Amino acid sequence: MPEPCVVTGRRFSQNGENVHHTLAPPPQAAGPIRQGREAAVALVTTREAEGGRDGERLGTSDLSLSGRSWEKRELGLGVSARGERVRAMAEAHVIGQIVGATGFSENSLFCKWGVHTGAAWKLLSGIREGQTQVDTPQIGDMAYWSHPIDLHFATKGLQGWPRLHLQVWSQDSFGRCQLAGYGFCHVPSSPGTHKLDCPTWRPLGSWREQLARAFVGGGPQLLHGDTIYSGADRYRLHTAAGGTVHLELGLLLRHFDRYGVEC
Amino acid sequence: MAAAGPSVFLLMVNGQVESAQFPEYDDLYCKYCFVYGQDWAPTAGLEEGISQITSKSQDVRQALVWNFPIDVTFKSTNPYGWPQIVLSVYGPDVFGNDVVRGYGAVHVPFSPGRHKRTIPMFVPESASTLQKFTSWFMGRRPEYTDPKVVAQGEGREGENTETEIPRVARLWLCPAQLTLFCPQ
Repeated sequence: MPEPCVVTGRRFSQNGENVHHTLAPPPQAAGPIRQGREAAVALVTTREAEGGRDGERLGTSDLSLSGRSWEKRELGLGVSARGERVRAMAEAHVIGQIVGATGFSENSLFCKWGVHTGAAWKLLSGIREGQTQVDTPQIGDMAYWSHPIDLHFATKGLQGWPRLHLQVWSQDSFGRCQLAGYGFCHVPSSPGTHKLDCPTWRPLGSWREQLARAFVGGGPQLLHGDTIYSGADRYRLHTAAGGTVHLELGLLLRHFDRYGVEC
Repeated sequence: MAAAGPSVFLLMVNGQVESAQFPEYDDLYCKYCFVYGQDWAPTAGLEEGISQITSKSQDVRQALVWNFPIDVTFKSTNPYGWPQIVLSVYGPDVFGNDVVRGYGAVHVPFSPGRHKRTIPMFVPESASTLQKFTSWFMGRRPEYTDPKVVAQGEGREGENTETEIPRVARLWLCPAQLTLFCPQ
């Protein structure tokens, strides 16, 4: 019986603790249990709890939910306990940096970022959102953050491909923060290293609010952050351009070819 | 079960920290170190190093050249925690104390081949003007106790930094076995 490759990362240390085991442990069963597969199985059993979408399911829907079906649904390659070949979920690694920003009229800038995905995507490792430091350029006008991004996703469908959304804020010498721009960009879909330039915009508001922003600061902000990356209610907004955020993202994909996705 | 191991891949990094551009500073040296996730381990080479002290050339280029070699090989089972190289540059101030001139970090490239990376450097800023003056006077600028903080994403809110002009670090990446995962 060929040994499968376990997808989840294992430490080289001596303890057998699995670093990706953030989900509930699988139900106990009498069948043969391979050591170190707990997290792999737990990952697939949570599929029952999520509403799966019928559109782009990646082939795990043909496995029935019988009593010991979790044995079949092993997240690895090779052969399950019943001697059938099972499929693994597709995975994507997004590794890169938010390099910096140019073109903003303000000087000391920081960026709050987050990644939004559809329901079929699951974050295995990494932090989904964060905030960079405040940077004041001494030479030139580019603010550099060099903020690392390292995310590991598993997915059952192409819908809801990850999108990175950004909010750039400026901080003045008194410590007050003012919005400089919102922006979003999709994570690239072809493997390799990509340089991305994400343009930003900020809501304008009425002429009173614009005048107040010029003198006192502040200005309108979005109530709901999902307008940044969705186009649903954008027609209500009147916005002005901000600067550009520069990113370098690398993408590594795995198992997408099993589901007929070419990349 | 030792036999049911995950697939291991190796990542070999050969390169150098080539040079820097710091218009106002001279007599600089740099330190490099690698920051990586829990699934990674270095198998060969040095993961830390300190370069020589270099001065600006007398010609029109005003170049600060180190040509400092980097040779390290990592092994891992998971791309999560891909190694980052963290560079810190130090130099003397007016009074002769060693102060930090910049920190920077970049991920090791993913694809085999020759890559050149220019890394912007930043320093932490003093919290107030008085602290700026006392740190200039005493030679104790704000610096990180552990430069590896630069390679991490969490905990950066509330930090204020100033960036200097970008510097150049050329990296070559040769994969010893870049079969990332074994297909079956």
